[in-house]
Amino acid sequence: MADGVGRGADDRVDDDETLYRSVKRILWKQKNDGGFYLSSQAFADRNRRPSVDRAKVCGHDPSYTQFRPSDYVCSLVAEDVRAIASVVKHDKKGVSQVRHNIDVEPVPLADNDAHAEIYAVPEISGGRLFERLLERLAYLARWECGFGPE
Amino acid sequence: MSNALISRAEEPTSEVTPTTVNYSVHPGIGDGELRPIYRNFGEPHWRTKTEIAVLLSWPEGWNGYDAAAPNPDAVKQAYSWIEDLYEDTLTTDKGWIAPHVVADAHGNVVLEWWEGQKKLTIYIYPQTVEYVKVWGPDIFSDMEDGEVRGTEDHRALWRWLTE
Repeated sequence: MADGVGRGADDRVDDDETLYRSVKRILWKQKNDGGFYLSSQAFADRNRRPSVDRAKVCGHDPSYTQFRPSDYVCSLVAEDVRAIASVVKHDKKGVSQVRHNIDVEPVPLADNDAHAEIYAVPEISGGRLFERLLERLAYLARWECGFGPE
Repeated sequence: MSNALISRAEEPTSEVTPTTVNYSVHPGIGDGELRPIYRNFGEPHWRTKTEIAVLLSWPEGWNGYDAAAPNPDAVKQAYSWIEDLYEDTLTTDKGWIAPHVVADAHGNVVLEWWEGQKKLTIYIYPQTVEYVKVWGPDIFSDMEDGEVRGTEDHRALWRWLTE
């Protein structure tokens, strides 16, 4: 599974790391020109911390992330996720209140050492800010070769 | 909402995912009068209404992660809302555009339309309807969100999407 990357409590996801996300086939739509649209719900998460798998910890194998062989796998680059820095919560008058930075951190699980989570600092607690983030993540995502609808 | 005339072609098994749901349609038999739902099968939005009804078959964790099963109250609200939207689109030049129908992680219904550089996402909750308009990648300057409070609001969104 892992390719020998040593990780400790202070481990972080490097900017150049690829992050895999499993995508059910219901979550994309064919374009008329042969391309595709990825649903914003590809990154939906009840806790507003979308799960991803770190490619370098799972041997750069997209199939590691699939729940079923029929699932597609898309990917993000950590640097692009962190570049979503203009997440601002506004009050009803449009005045900026809170600036959220988006980051990704390792959250290894008992059965998934590669697990990481995308999250906001400070945590997004309400409103539709997280829904906007989902749109941006879908915009950034790319299919992994051999694991998409092409 | 009745989906009595819509049945699954096969019983779901643990290996069935939302991507493989099949359904078949059984018309009323023998009374010579088509039931209202069957008359509507020819309407362009029938497929969308069927896709909304099929959400009720999606299980907990349908996305492989932690998504809740679609909420029946949200599905019922979506079924009604899409009917209103469709009726409104009949008065426009552009006409009906079928949305992509999915659910969110909390079990609410999500409808998505892509038109050129524009993307409209509608979140249908049991009591409310909200939207996210997208015309570029920047979360602050290229997106707008809000609540859809009534007919005028969804007409304005449709105009924005189709103009």
